[in-house]
Amino acid sequence: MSNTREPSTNYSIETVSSPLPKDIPHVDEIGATSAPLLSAAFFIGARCKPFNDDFMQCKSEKPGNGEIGCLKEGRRVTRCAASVLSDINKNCLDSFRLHWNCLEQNNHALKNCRKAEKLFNKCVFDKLNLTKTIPGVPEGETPIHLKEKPLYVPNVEDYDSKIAYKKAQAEGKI
Amino acid sequence: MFPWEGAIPYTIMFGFFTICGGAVSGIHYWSNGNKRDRFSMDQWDRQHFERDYRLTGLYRGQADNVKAPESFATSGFRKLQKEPRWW
Repeated sequence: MSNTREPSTNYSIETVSSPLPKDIPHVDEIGATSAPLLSAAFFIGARCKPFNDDFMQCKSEKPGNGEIGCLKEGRRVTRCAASVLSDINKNCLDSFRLHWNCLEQNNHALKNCRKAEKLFNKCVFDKLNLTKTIPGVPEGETPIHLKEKPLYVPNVEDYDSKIAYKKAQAEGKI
Repeated sequence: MFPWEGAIPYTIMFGFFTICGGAVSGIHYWSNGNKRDRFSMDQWDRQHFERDYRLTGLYRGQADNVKAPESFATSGFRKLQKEPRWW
């Protein structure tokens, strides 16, 4: 074929069924899609930071061969993320779904879902003792998710999370 | 006194623009699987559409399962260029 660039608009999709070779140990891949992963990202980071750092260090130590050379570290990363997700699913499923459904409806922008995020963060902190910490926030500055009046607010607040937030406030949970 | 006769064409214009805009926005919402549009996407978002497609069968499908379905391990996402058309 003369044209070797990846097609962007006019293409057909082929799914290839080629399993991994037998000598690579099996690991259950994460089944969560983009919005739930974004929603749980900071908690996955909170629990799995050592594993993730280990993986990234391995990748930088084996330039060009990270995909093959770091399979062991990669499996650890996958298993740790799966443990966080299964804990969240067991303990905080309602607020988790509230948050990622809000994200999915609002272009995956965290600023649009602060109310659902507050409920979710509180639940995860109470049940799993994981806190959301944003890396790289300057000393003495309030991180964006804790600000009372952030600069960027959603044009329209997500209805379900607004109702849930009001309910939690009325019950004194937040 | 409201100018009824002069207002009629403006009512018609306003009405047709509203109908067209509502229809376009409705089609967008429907074609995204009853979700609002995604916009300003980068490569990261686009590659996640492909991953979501492999997991759920829909570009906008979402699931919060811990384990991926069995087919995920052996499926791939490869873009194939279609046969070039002569025109």
